[in-house]
Amino acid sequence: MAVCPVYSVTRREGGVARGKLMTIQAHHQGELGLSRRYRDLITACLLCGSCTQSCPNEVDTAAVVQVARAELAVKKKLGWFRRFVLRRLLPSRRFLPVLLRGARWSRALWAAKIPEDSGLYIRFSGKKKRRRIPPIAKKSFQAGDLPRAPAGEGMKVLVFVGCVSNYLRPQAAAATVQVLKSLGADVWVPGDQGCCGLPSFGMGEVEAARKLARRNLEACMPVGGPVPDAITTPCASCAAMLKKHLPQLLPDDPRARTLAEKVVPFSRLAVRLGGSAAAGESAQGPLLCYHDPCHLSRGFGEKDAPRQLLTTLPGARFVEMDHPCKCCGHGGNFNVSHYDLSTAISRQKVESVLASAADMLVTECSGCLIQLAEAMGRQRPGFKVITTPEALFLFKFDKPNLPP
Amino acid sequence: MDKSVIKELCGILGKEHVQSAPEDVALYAYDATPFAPVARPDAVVFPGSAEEVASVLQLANRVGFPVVPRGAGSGLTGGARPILGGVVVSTQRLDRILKIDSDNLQIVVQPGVVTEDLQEKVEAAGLFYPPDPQSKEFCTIGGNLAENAGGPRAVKYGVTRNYVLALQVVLPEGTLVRLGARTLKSVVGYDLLSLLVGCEGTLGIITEATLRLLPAPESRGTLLVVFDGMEAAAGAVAATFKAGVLPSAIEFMDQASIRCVEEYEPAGLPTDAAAVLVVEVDGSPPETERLAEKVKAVMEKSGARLIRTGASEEEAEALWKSRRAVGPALARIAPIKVNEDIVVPLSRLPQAVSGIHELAKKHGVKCACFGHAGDGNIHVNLLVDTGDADALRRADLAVDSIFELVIELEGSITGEHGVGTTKQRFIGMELKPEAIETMVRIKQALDPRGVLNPGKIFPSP
Repeated sequence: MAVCPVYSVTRREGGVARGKLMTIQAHHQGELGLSRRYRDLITACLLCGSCTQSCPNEVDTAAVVQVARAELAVKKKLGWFRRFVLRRLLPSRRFLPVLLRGARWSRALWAAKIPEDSGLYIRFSGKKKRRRIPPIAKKSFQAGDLPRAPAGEGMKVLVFVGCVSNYLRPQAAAATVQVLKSLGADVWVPGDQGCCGLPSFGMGEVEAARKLARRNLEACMPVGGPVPDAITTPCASCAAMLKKHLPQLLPDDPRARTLAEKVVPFSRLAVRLGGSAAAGESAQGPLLCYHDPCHLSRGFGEKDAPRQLLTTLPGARFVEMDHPCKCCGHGGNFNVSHYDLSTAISRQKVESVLASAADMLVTECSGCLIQLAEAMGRQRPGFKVITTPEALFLFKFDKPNLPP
Repeated sequence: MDKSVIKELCGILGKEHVQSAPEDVALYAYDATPFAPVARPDAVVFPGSAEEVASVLQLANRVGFPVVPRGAGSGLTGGARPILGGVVVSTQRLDRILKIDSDNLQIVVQPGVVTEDLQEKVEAAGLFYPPDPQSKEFCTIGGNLAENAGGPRAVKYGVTRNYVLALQVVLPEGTLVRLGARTLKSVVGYDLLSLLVGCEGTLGIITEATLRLLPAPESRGTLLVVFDGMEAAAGAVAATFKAGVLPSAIEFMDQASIRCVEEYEPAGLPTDAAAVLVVEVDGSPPETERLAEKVKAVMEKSGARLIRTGASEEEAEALWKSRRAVGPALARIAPIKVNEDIVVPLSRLPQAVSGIHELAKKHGVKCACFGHAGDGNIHVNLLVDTGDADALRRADLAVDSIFELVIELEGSITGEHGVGTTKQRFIGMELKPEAIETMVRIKQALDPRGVLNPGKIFPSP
């Protein structure tokens, strides 16, 4: 109760772990059906793991909630649109780029009066009036000219891009590649990879997630292909998916376990490659603060590495905000199914950021990135939210021009 | 419950603050009481004002349905469970701190304020609200008032009741009254404040409280004292007071508790010790130092094996952290724990702790004791594995005999948790029939239709 971000906003028993577990238990005892309200309650969880962390028995409420969601999904209680997105759109190789291109055009029409560089986002009309959609990149990251195989020297690092870095924030993926290269790694980006599958998995769409897991496994670990020393990604959620859930989805393929073993969050890898070895704290440059993504701080237990990197940047200073580990409220699908709640939770984060007087917010997860960019944008148009690799790229290697 | 009643409730509170779907009421069918069966209400309401609470109670009297007040649902004796159905009144929307009055050392709060939030706000103003129940991170002040919550600091600072100056209360028939005064002294009429505080939600729903604050102590000192004998540790408590020291807390942990907490969150406690005391003194820095020295001398005389002083704030915090971790740590090794919070007069503490361990042994139940030894309040935890029905039965028998021992030692069967439903069958052990009869008559006088939190405290005749 003291730690649940949803409860902190709703103050209702349905938000907190105890309530979720009781609801699921009541359902299993046959007292509650798979009603709409049941779905509302089961989807109102960020899967952030805060409750598990503070629970003496380490009850994994998030896992229980996911199982409950899987049951909902199997029994086809998901809305047709979500089902379509999760089962057909995300696993599809061709659909998503086409759709996003379409969205880009429509965005251009709607937002014709808003200059591209103003930092404002478009707003959807209709029910979710205040919804701001981040701009979609002109050219996806994967459409660029990228190293598709290891070159032969240095630590062999495979970069998993993820949807946000591919379509919305190619700078993050580009910075990941650039920074790792600058740190002496032998980097490549397999072309066939797709969505990590976490949105489907989190929503209980296990089969769709399995399809994606299979595709990513074939892309990253082709039989007879090069075996990476490490697999990394600018997104902690993708990393958590590949590390924790991919081998669960493909239990019979030994390559899945090998892949999972190779997954290292970006900042941990960058520290390992010497990314925090610098001249010490900087006295100049913008003031950065850092938001701990749930999947990194609780998922990987990694809070130090990003700070080691950010406190040793020659071109920027660092300040700690209040409660940096508190969930931003994105929670993947949560942000879609409980938008108002999600926004209310992110507002608390915005207050912490503003109170820290930071000029820029750094995080290491695409979900947090989208959520916080939207939340900060609402309060402080133009406030920059970037990923750890981008921070390194901008303030460590003195190359301010990121590829578009 | 009739649909028309739900409709009327919606009329009073607004539709969004009334829930009656099966999924929603299932969420208010329990509190933190172990093994309590679920008890679903017919509806849950979230009033936004005292007047709305009053209207709900008026409706309950007119139509005839039970009303059960609820804070965060962290109670351990089933007080917030709607065992006869009806309407749960949640105080979660009444969650504002209305005023901090530094001149008069007072704070005015609504019942849904979380205790720790209150303490943090008050501390920021250089003031101090001492009652600190274990669940302070999430429990509400309304629940603290209804249960007269205590905590480690009670030895010096007393319990919740000692900080209540005035209350706004909705009485069972729906009358809104103000009790008490904004002064430290007031002897006009009966002391109804004392009746309401600790009434377990059976005599009124508190909708606003004026609480007394203290200046924050300038400094605190913490000592860890290790003993080879459990009785010696318990005896050292009374010896401390005899030496003229009033510590702000004296906490006790027996060997089972120490081992358990060391496994869960190692803090370097000696696992071979029979018992440890964590003693806290406070005051101005020289005063704290002097008191700490005095405590040290008493403890040495009482046979302490080792005394460690938490010199820095971090060390002190680490000691307190391990003390607070005992409850959670025990929950880890035994999923089910019977947690009783007995109290005995200080001089009886050694007899109590050894007697309890003997009784637990006799009934073949694992037992860990820890708690607020400074005020004689010991949490007796009987540890039982899930599914072990026989052990559960033996634990029940052990509880019976432990309570008998406590009464024999002139103690009380519950110091903090209250009676609720789980201790109903024991109250006759402590209270004479005439005393129970008097209480029942008070309840009947204030709640003639028996709508407010019925079926609690007193066993049904």
